[in-house]
Amino acid sequence: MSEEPLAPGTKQPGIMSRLLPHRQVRCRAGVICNFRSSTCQALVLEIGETVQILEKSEGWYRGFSTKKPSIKGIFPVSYVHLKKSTVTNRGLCETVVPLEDPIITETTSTLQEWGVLWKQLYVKHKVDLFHKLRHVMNELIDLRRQLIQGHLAQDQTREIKRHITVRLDWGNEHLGLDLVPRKEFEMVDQDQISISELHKLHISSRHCGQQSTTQGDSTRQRHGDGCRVPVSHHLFINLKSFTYNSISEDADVFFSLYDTREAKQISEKFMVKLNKNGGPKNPEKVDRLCALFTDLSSKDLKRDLYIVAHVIRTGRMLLNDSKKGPPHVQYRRPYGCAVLAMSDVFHTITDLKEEKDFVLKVYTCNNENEWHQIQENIIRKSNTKYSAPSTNYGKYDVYTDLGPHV
Amino acid sequence: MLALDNMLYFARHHQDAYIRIVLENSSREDKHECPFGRSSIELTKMLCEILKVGELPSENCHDFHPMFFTHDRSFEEFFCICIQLLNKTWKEMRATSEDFNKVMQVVREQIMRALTLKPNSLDQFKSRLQNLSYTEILKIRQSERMNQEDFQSRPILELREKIQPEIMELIKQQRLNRLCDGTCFRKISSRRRQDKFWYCRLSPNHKVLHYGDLEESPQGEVPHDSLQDKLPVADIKAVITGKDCPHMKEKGALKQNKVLELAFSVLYESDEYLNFIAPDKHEYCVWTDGLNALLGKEMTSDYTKSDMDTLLSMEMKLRLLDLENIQIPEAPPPIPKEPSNYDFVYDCN
Repeated sequence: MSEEPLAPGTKQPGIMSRLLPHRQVRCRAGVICNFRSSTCQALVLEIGETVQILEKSEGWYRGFSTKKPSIKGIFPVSYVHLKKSTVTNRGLCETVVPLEDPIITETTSTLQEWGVLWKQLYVKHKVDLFHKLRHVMNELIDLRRQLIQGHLAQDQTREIKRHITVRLDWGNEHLGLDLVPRKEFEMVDQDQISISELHKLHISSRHCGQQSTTQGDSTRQRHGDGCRVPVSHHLFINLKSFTYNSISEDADVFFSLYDTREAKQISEKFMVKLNKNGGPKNPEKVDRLCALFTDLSSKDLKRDLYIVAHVIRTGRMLLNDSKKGPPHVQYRRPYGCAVLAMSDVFHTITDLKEEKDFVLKVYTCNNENEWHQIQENIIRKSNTKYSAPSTNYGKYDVYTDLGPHV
Repeated sequence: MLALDNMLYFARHHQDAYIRIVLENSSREDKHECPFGRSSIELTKMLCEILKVGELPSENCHDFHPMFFTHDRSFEEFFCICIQLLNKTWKEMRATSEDFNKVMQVVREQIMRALTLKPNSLDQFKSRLQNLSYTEILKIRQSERMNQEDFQSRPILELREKIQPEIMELIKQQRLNRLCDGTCFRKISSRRRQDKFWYCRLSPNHKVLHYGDLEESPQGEVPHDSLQDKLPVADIKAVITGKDCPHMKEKGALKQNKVLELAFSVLYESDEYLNFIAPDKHEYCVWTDGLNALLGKEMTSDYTKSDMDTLLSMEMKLRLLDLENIQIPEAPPPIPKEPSNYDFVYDCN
């Protein structure tokens, strides 16, 4: 029997004996009555359980309980109450989410999480916290109920949400659970905001949480309308080509952002592995040697920033060593460095989404002692300390494609 | 049209109130103004609904509202009272124009509740409404919410029964943990000398009771090794409480009532007793429960009942969280007959 998903209302082609189509229903439902039956493939359900439904046929649903998702079975339509839900990411990895205010969903799952810990508090006889938590849980259940009933005006609904979040944070803190970063009372989706914004949210929530525990219920808004949204800039770099002449050795190029005033690197290093011919070592990466430097604040952009590329080759000890020799002996040796001032980038790129090509010249060190500060030397143009690689070894250019993205 | 008539009547006959309302609302800048026109129209509609205006009178209905007989233009007066109520409630709810329907719901409830009391005159109706301010309605709703938790339908009672043993197991664990921590007891001697202390605790494997005398009240935990005597749990035959205890039967023992309630003994070796006087009721309950649990008997103290209540009610509330606002059937619905074919096609996850 084939297992393709059936569009709602259609019959599976080729099977004439089937009279009643199975209708696809993708939904969450709450069980409203205990169900136990000897019917074949019937699930055992308790009142209050949540089930997810896959399809419907003749007064029965087929699905599974969220407590035991791997066991699928059938249960009658009359024993569950459907909840409006949305389905995201249809297919093998889909998720069915009930359609309700996210604060209500968060409160429900947090309360259930706390319920388990609360019972442990009882067994360990932590009387004080046990009673306080019970009080808070009852309060939350009532507040949640008020939100669900939906009789309240907007101002009051906001007030209730604020109250709920204060209590949720109190409980999470006292039970040693993670602090939830919030924006406008809702849990923030980590995939949707940048790291620096997340960090700021954490700090401000922590600050507000401490305020309210020491001063009782303060009426301070956690995120007032006047909160400034941090603006982050992103820099996109794409290495287009690395012209290499006769060295014929594998090399690694490390890109990073460097602040010359503070003389330090402010970003992680983006490594590009190149083969002997100057192309990417991984053939799939042709034209895809790119990196995104994220979360640069406006303050960062005002620094004296440079894009610095260090080239490290893998091969002989010294460039003028004979090419013949034990081939397995490979050394990682510093080769050269190239810099590009961000101020140059900003002058040439006027439109924020524009991409431009830049050519970076690679310079080698005259003296290996100076390798650790070769970038400084190139930037300051202390000519004696570096030089363009000698014509014996060819010219080395790094083409990059830059674009600031906000 | 009726709404316009009402508004006109209101403006003519209750000029002060009308002017006040209109001025109040037109000068508010913060989007919280109550829209006079829209509310009059909606209110008139609602009043007609409540009073079943336009429907044929029912033969069997004996409900009369006396207050409508007291005034010539009672409907219009009724409207005036209600529009002022609406304005007041709007302010109390701090509503914005999006909350219009919610305000109407509240006003409807206020009017209905006041009407059920069958006021004899419009003035009485007005004063009844004053008692039904928004805060009152909120209180009424809250008590309804509390009562909502009085679950009595069969499926819920079944679930309660099912969970009860699990909770009892938790209580048992807690009691035994407390016994393992141990308690300091007093020896009350007939000679009113300085009271002596002794300590008793259960071993972690629940097999032995360690006990011994102490010089002074302990500050923290007392380790097993410092307690000289042992009593294997397997030797315990029974737990005796109250006036049946041997140390309570002695003459000269302090027979104050308080002590009687806190006394319990452990019978071992068919005639040996270990006598306890608990420091307070809580410890008494913990120890008697714990000892009963060790003997495989039921725990019967008051604290067990209250703990069970606390834990069970919270557990039930948590399990039924997802069924908020959903009607739970009184009896299990009928089970349909088996599906005619089991060829299920959809199989994700």
